[in-house]
Amino acid sequence: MRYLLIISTLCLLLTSCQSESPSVKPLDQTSFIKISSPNDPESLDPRKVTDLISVTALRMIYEGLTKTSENGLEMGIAESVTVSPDNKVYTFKLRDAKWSNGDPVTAEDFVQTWISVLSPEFPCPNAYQLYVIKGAKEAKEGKIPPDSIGVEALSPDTLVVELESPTPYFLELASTYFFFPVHSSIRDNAYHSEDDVIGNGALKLDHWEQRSEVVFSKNPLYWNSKEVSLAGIHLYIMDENVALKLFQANQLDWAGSPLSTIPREAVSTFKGDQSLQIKTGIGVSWIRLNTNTPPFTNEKIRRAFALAINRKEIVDYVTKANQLPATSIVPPSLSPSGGNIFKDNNQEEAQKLFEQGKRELADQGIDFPKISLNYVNLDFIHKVVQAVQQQWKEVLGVEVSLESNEVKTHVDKLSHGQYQMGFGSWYADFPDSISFLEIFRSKDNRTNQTGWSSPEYTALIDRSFLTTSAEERKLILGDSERMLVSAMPVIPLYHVTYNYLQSNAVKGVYFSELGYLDFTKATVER
Amino acid sequence: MKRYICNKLIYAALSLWVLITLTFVLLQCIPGDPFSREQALPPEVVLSLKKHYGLNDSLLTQYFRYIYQTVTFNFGPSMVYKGRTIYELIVHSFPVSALLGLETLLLALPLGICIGIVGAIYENRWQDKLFFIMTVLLISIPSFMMATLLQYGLAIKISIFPIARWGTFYQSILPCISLSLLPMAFIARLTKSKLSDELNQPYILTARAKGLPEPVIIFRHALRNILAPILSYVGPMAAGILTGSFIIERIFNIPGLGYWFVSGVSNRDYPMIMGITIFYGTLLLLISVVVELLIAYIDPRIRTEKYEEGVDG
Repeated sequence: MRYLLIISTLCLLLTSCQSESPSVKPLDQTSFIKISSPNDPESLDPRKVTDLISVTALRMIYEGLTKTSENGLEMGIAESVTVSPDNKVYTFKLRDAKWSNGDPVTAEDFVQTWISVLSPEFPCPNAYQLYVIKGAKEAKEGKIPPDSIGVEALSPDTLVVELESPTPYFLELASTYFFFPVHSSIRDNAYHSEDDVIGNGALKLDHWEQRSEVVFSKNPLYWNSKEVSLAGIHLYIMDENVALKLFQANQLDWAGSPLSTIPREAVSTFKGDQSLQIKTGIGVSWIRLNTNTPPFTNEKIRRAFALAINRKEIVDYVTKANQLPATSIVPPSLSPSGGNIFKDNNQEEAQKLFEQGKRELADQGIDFPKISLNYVNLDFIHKVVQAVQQQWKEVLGVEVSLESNEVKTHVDKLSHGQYQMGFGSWYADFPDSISFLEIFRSKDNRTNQTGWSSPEYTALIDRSFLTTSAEERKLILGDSERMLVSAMPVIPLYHVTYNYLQSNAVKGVYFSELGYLDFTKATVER
Repeated sequence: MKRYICNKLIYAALSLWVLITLTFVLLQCIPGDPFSREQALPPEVVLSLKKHYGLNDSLLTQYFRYIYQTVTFNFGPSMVYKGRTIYELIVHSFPVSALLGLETLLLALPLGICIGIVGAIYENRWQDKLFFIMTVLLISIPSFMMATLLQYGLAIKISIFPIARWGTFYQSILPCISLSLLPMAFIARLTKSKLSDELNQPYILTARAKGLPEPVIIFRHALRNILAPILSYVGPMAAGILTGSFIIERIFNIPGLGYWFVSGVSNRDYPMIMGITIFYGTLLLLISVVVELLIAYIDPRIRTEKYEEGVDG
């Protein structure tokens, strides 16, 4: 017993010594912006990540050929660009930019990065985003060598990109992290240390303490560093509830989207508070219908279920964060058809279609089966699907059972077609309606999952890729969106918003509709 | 005794093998893989990812690779946190969980035993009633509830302690208290009931008749005899709290091992699940071997029994 006491005293002394550990700094550092996320970034190699937390971190330390800001598209590492008359060849002139270790950023850096992404051996989940480049898909499939894709470094500061077909949104795409260059030290080393990442952006990695914090400081070698007034950013890794408490105690400058979520109950608590910001995003929450199994083989039944939903009620009383009731697939700001393709809460039409659909099914000898809706076991989704379930019961008299699963199981069921209705969402990768509409071009698109396709729809989407006239393209895409909505393989519910709390001390942060944060022009005043 | 230890270690190794095999089989059974998500990837991209991580090899190849990885304790990089190896993550986060666990143990064990002794001495008096109410209350309140209450009361309403995060001794106080109250109450009850029985034994009567002072009777004679059951409870409990409590770590934002285990499963991060399961398993087996040896050391009766058993077997 005596020994036990001595040992315990010793251990307690040891733990108190640990408090002087140099790696942990106190929370307040006035010239830094303090933000938080529930998880660490997956990686700081832009070729390997898929999550918004990593993307936000990447956008601090990297810059692509172009960049987006409040003013729209701007030039980034590229100083200027010329486009060939057939809109297929882009020639970028690079500015005199440097990596954070002093090396120049060259056209070869871009070429080699993209070649590595498109080599069949390299594990890059986003490789397909580069398929606009000529030969990229064939290279990834191993049909042609990766270095024969349509990119070339004519000189250290001249980069030529040849596209597969005219792509009106290519310059926007070039600003995304899919197209960021990586430094040769990362390209040449399969397991490069995450603690020593060389970037070319406004900030650079200072240190990264797993599950605790990632610190970025101003990069003095950034080409436009005189415009950067920020000392740096502290990204604390913490649970969203802890983050909320620390924000309320003025120990954090940012909580919520895009890095984490604010608990739904807290959103209503903060309504009217200056620090609560709501920003519309380019995304849609929808319900996929499995068109391979009855009753959703029938278009009228699909439309009936869509029209029976009262989206306004759901947005006003359930989700409660200024989402837009969705009566189109593409959010109104981008919708080529102008949005509002059908009437929300059209009960009469829904009942009529439902009766007709049921009769058609009966003629084929099919009894109306039991229906279930699959969704991911998150609390707020649970509330939304319950509301929808209730509305279907009231309007159509159909009892839909709810089936929740954890996310991987949910995705697995949908991808194997083991579902009737599946709640989900889609966020655009780049600000163009094609990011939504292309999903349903073919059954084989793995995100489609509804089993729906139509030769006319495919032909329309293909035509949109060939035209060089922006107006004609909009008309074609408008037609295709209307065709998609009238066939209704997915029921749009609402267009998403991002909710976040931003401290009054922080100004000038750009929050893109795609959910990216840009701190380049941010300032802090405490 | 040597043979006894050898036997124990062989059993531990066998259990570990069963654990590896079961984990491997279960991982093949759960739906989804590390790369499945709503925004599905084209087949050629999935193929390149699977090839890279060896998921395209035959199950047998994968199984033997896992065995090899276990023996060398090198599970390679995480499939989610691509730039980090499993080894790196465990080495980084286990000391945090272990330190918190150790503090918890050092608070719960001595305090629990002392309270138990007090309970036994004052049996059937008002102190005993108070003891009963307190321990039942503490055993029934789950640790996460206690953590939330303490955090709200002592950190948010009156800011005596930091709300969350990890690094200083003060930051470890609230999580340590929330984790230790339940085992403390349990140890106290265990000590009290065993000690009350022990104090009614004839040899205690003899000791009292000899005129030995009460503290000597309790600490030198009675307590020594009841340490074995307490230790056999503390063993698994220690393994549990040393490897981290996911919920407490989450509430106080402590960068411990518990998080990686849970996120590994929900992300289907195969190397992470295998690595941490085997690490947990090894630790649990080691601790239970150590506890058995300790019990044998403390209680000569068990030692001789086991020794004889060893000789016979």
